[in-house]
Amino acid sequence: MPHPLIAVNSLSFSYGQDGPNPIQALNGVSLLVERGSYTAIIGHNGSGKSTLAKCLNGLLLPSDGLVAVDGMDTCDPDHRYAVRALVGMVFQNPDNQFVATTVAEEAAFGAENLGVPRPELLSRLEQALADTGLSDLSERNPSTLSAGQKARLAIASILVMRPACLVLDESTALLAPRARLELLELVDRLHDQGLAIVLITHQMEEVVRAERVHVLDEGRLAISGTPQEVLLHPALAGLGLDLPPAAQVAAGLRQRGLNLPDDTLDSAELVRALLDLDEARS
Amino acid sequence: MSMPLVAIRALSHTYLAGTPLETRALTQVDLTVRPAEIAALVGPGGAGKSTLSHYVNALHRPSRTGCVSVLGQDTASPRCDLGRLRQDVGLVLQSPHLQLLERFVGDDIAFGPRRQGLAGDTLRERVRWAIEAVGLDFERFKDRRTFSLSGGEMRRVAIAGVLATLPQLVVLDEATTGLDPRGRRRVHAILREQRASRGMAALIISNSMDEVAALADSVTVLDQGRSVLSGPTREVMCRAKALREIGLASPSAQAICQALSEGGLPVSTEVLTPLEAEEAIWQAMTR
Repeated sequence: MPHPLIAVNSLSFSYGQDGPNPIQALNGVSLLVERGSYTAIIGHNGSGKSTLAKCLNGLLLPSDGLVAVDGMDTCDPDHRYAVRALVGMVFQNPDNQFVATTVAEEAAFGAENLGVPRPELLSRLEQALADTGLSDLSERNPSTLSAGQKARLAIASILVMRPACLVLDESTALLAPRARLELLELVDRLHDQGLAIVLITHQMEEVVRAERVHVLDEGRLAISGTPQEVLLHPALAGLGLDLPPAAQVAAGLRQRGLNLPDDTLDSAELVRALLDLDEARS
Repeated sequence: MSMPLVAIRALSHTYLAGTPLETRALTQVDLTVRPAEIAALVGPGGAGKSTLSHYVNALHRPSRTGCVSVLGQDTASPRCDLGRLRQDVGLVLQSPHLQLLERFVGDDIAFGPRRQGLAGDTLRERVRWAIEAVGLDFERFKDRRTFSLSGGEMRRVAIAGVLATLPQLVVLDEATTGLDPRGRRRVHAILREQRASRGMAALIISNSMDEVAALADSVTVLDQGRSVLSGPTREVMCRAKALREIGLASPSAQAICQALSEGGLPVSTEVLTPLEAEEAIWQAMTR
């Protein structure tokens, strides 16, 4: 049987564990990220989301427990490059990760450092810039791009490394509505092409896109399940999280006695359900 | 009508003027914030929102074009009392890393009020109030190392540090981005509470149209450095087409009602929040 893409087993992580006041950020977290899956991770501020993300590709190493990427222990220095090439990270502010003076050089940087041969590198680069809609901007300086284009460039630079998984840590938070939607649609297309996605977010309406949702609370996994199971879970409100707006409206209408199905979590589903209901009544 | 707290008229700003990297950030922009008002500034990336916000506490001052009056002071005037102005106008920057400076959370929040002359128990109580105002536990957080905090916790501490100086106007540049829903609600509640108790005004910059719809009294929309729409929140949010054209969206609640209306359900589309949408849909479904 093949290894799961990422196996997180009883993972604990403390910051400053050798100092006088260690801060435990993760406490016994276990989860699997399967090949080609779409996972969302949510939780209140300080619940451990970003720490977990950084453990997935070995940017942080477990204080206790194990993280294995394609069967490779992230603690094993011999596997460090292979692990980082398989699991790419996009942060909230891409400016923090840019190093080159043109879009093309920036996108090629990571793969170049992994020693990808030049002809192969160029063909991957062309593909990655096309996938992210940046082909026409390849000679631009990254600092002159819009926020949405910068986020897509950060993704392009990972795609050139041919990863199996893309981890997005609040990458949509600073984007205006259209740019945010474009980024989410790009992520959906990459997922359709077989890439596994781990999306860390506070925007509850983004959670609905995932196949599996994990809720972190005080460094522990509090709830795991499908978006529907998690968003309808009675413990969710107690964890400082809200329903997406459409689900709030649906819940209110259900309480008033409208016969809406349980699975109306996003706007399109709610609108369809309401129009069907109205038609059935008249 | 009372005098505005902030009156910006015909303001233009160019970065690196006269160099090959010259960039026009603002062109003939107007912005007004009235006493005890929660005003919002929205626009796509690069519209000039942060640049404009820097004029409100005189980090930028008009050189040739435009006029900026903040709390009755002309910020271009050599007689403008910048110390006074910056005590009265608290700015929370987009990146908390640029704002926090002390090693421990309690000291960081005490930094502003200490310079206003607070000390001892009064200072401690002010810090406690500010930490709790943003939803963090005082005992648990006051001795935490500032840079060991998570991203969302740092943002809360940055907001607490500004609130602790009891400003007359607070400017929040994407400051609630990255806060969890409960943290956002806490910040909204404290802004409303400070407005009610002592007339504090706020200027919020946000990419979340849902947040603006729920919180703001008025909205100014910037696009490519120009103020293209402004007015009461409901009026601006009802311009769905104009918002869409510049890459913004309507608040989710309104988009739902809009889609229902287009699908033939006679529902009011002038709603801002999920609760208002629920009421409007209920009216339409039980007509």
